[in-house]
Amino acid sequence: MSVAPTFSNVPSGIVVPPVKPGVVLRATGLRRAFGRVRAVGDLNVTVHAGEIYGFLGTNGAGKTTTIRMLMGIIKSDAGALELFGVATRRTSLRQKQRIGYVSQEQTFYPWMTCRALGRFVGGLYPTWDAGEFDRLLRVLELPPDRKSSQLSGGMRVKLALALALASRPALLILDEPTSGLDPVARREFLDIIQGQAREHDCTTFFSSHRIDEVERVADRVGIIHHGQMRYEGDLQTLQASVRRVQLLVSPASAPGAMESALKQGSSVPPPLPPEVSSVDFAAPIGFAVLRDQTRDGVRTLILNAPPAAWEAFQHPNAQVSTLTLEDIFIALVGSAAQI
Amino acid sequence: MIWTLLCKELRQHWLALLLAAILTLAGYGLIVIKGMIAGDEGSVLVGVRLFVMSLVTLCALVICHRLVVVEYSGRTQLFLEALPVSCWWMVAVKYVLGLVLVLGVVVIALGLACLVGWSKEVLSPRYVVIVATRAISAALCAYHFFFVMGFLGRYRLALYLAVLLGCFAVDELTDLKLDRFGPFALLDERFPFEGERFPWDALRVTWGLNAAFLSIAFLLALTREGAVASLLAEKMSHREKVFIAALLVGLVFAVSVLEEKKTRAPFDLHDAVTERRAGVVAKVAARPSDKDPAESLGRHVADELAAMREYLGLGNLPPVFITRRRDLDADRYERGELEDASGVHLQANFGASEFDRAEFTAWLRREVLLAHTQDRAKLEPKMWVLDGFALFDGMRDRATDPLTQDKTLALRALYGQELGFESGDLSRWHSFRERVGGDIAAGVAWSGLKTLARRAGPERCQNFLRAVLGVEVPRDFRALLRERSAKLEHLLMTQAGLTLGQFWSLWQEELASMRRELADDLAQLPKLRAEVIYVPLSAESRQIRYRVRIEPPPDRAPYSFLHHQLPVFDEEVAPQSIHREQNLYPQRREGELPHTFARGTRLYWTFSLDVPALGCSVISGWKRDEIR
Repeated sequence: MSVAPTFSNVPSGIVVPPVKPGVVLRATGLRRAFGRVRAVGDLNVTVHAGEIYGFLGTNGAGKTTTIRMLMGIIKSDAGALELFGVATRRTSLRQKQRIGYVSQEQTFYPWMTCRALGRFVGGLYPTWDAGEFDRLLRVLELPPDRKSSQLSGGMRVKLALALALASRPALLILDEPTSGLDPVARREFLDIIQGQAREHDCTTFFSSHRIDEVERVADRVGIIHHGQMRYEGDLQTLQASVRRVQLLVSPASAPGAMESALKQGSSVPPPLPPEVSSVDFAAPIGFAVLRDQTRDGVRTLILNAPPAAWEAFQHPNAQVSTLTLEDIFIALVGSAAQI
Repeated sequence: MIWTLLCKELRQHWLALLLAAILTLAGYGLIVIKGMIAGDEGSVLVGVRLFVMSLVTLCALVICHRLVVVEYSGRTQLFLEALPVSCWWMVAVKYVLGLVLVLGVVVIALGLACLVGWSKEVLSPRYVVIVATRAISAALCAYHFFFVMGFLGRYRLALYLAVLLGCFAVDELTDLKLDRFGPFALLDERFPFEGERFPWDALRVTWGLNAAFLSIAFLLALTREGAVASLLAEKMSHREKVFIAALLVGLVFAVSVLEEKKTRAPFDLHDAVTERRAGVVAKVAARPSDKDPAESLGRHVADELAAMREYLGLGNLPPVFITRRRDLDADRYERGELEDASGVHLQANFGASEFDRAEFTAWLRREVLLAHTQDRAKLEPKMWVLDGFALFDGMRDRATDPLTQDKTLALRALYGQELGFESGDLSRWHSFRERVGGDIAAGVAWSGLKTLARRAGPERCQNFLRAVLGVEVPRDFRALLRERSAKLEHLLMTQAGLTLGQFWSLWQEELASMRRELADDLAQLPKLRAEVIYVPLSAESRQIRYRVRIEPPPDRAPYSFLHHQLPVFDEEVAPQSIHREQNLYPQRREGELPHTFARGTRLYWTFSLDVPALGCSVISGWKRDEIR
């Protein structure tokens, strides 16, 4: 079975390397509005067994709403959900028992100790492994008899992770778990996630607005913006698909502008013949224009096309360069920032 | 899941819930013990009523606070919703746990009551079932109310106040009586004694309320996946606090204003003689045998009130209802209470041969003016005007005649002056009245108004009286503002053209002139002196002995010892609550009260002597003593 990455506004038909077969979670056309505000609109998500899925989006993009719908905490206004191969309107309690969840904000009972929390949460999961919970407490260096109100922010996140993992979930959902953690704790946390996923073959769906985190641990990503999926696929394909094309608008109107604009580049492009104006440039068939901006006499386009299409791309007056994942993310979410 | 949630609730709240249950039952134990010691409650189930009304309600409040409010205000429900727990079960477990506790406490109390009462009372199964149904239904209503309020989060305290205020407003401002409604009716005074009939109407309403509260609670908890309850549980913003506080203060103010302005149905007397004049209605209840004096009195009262209304420029006067009380002395009058009805109800023995119609009318005038001004005419700085006007108005045609033309009243004024009358007494009129007695004080005040009419002219005097007594007083805070702006000195100056000092000098001149003319008569008037001795009978018990001296000594003069046991805080003493011990002078100059008093009791007392020359009684001066 092969899975193609999908851009919401890019022609499909691109062949990418296959990932592990079996769909653990599939949401189709998920929609949710709060009053007049549409938080999520027609969102499609597919998470495969054993993979770490990075759910990337800016603040307010709709990540938490999507996760709360996937967890069955809130109902979707429309859309279909398939969890562990079973189609459902809303995640059932039985399905929830196979999911480990770490929310963005940890609100434990302040009077409960770590151990007591384990006992309480364990009573709700048939697959709860008390030994594993104790092991996780040790590994994560959590004091079992300390009350949750006496734990630091980082320890609380670790405790949430221990509670989520001790039930040996088939799917682990993490909602921006590292927000509020210092860099050391964040790195440690991501290592644990990666280790658990590899060791226990645990499918992991985690949301973040930090590209470096996703880049570090995710096999596949979904980029959400304004409640809609802008890209879903693997990172290599994404980086190979989105590139920057720079063209001089007119040498006469902006002498030396190209040089100036490309000072930071590794090579100077060939001069543009005076009879050709880059204003006339049109993206070839199969290429989608994500960004098009002209500045200091240089027209910069961010184009999206299958990696194979880029191999065939040729233009005498164009300078083509690859982008960092951060630049791609910014281009996809339509930020006003310069790329 | 249910077991896990239940264990969680019990682990979290076991101490609070246990304490609530134990203290509630301990409170019931105290109620039972108090009932057994007092032994006069009629039934052991009386205690159950008090228990459900107070302690169970409090217990339900505590339970709901712990189970619902603590969860939502701590936002820990967000932790639960991330777990494989349905919101419905979470709320249901809390509900059932609280329900079992409340029911348990009530059932234990009922069981104890039956156990205690089994040997003393006839407790048939039907009787017990009726009482139990009433108690449990009312207790559950309180529980469901607090349960739903728990989900209202930050607004619950404001809503408690609003509900209290609402209940008060409904009870006071409408014809609905809360004590006859639903759960309140279940716990009415018949609760411990009704063993035959189920109060189905009240039960239906209570069960309906229970269902409604429960539905609202679950609706709040489950709507938008619990988001509504979570939002409500968030802390109040500063702006919200200010808004809610302003709203509540406004509500309190509105209710108090409405309560003041409530138009009550006029009181009515059937088979009464009715006399109507412009703005005046006078009704005198009469048996066939009293018809003639009633008709005569009705006509007289209506005419006098109509004249007073015209003189003071008043609007419609409150209707006057007069009933005959044969147990009253002819010179004693009492004001009756009118519950939820407007009007002035007066009681007098008007058919008696010694009944003095003029004297009664003077007293009636004062009562009508008090009712018309919502008692504001009785405010101390202007009270002397009210007292004086009651007598002055009866002789308004002779306003400018010399004061000695009305010898009796003139003597009253001089007698009062002799007991010590200073300009400061005008603003301390209550104290002056207590020192010299109401009738003598009225005589003094009458002389003041006569002085005003004679020296400033009858028109100016009328203007002054209209400004003091004839102004329509609004039934809200404006009355206070008007009181501040319409000070008596100001009115005297603007209406009569006299300063208080000038008026006082003129008054003293008139009194001095009268004194010269009536010196001999005045010397004949008896002066009453008396003392009271508290004789210890034991460490805590005291007997009251008294000694009276009258100068010059009369041959035979009936006198009275008037006394009243004061409550902890001073309040106006109603005339009908004063006890009267009568004796004869000089045959019994000394005496003692037949009953004893506890040490520390506060006694309000005076001696009174009827003086025919004054047409009233004089007193030795009211005293407030603590019995030592």
